[in-house]
Amino acid sequence: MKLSELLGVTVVTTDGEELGRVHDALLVQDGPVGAQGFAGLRLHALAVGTRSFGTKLGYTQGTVKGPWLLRAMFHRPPTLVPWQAIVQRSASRIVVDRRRMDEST
Amino acid sequence: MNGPGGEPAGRQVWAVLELLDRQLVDRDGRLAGKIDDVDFVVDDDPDAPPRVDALLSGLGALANQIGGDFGRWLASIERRLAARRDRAPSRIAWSDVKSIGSSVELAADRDDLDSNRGERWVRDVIIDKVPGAGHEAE
Repeated sequence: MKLSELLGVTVVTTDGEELGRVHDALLVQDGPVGAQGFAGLRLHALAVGTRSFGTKLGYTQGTVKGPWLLRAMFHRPPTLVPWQAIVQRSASRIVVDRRRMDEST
Repeated sequence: MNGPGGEPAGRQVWAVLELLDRQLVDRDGRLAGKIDDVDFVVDDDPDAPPRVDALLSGLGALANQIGGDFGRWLASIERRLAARRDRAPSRIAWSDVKSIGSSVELAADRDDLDSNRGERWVRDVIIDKVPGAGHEAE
């Protein structure tokens, strides 16, 4: 599975609620240490939302802090969909279980 | 896997923001392409999260991102280059990655990486054919 196969895909809940599209993927570096002494990355969650501009600039993820005016405009915490909450995945749609999302966050 | 409060315990990396388009640097500090996609290995266990298996670089990976007619055109060029050199798609195994920062440092030599295929092709097929290409600059 490639990252490009996830980006832009529409995410809906099992109840039919549309959460938006996948804009980024949160990786966590806690995997086995490789030959270079560098730990592996696992896919922890997908950042989902209806707007992508703040994500492209890094405001949504919180990695870019200023200027304050742009931060105020674009910093809206993304909906994080934990990988374990995904119950079905195709090229055009990802279905998630809202209860599993709530349990994981 | 998660720390107190449900937060992941390890370092967090945003794939699009912190990996895509990042410069790859080989073990000698030479530029070795850019990251165009990330390949995950997915376990049979549906609850097991995918793990990063390789970083993808070059026209073929970029074509997947772009999509549409232009993406298909880029993919055809990549296939042509791959056919000439009988190589797999440009991928850098995660085990070759030393660090992630403003660039991604690799433990490998760039001449051994597929990500450098396009530059090698230009050098071998175009630059080397230019009259005088074999002489050093005066």
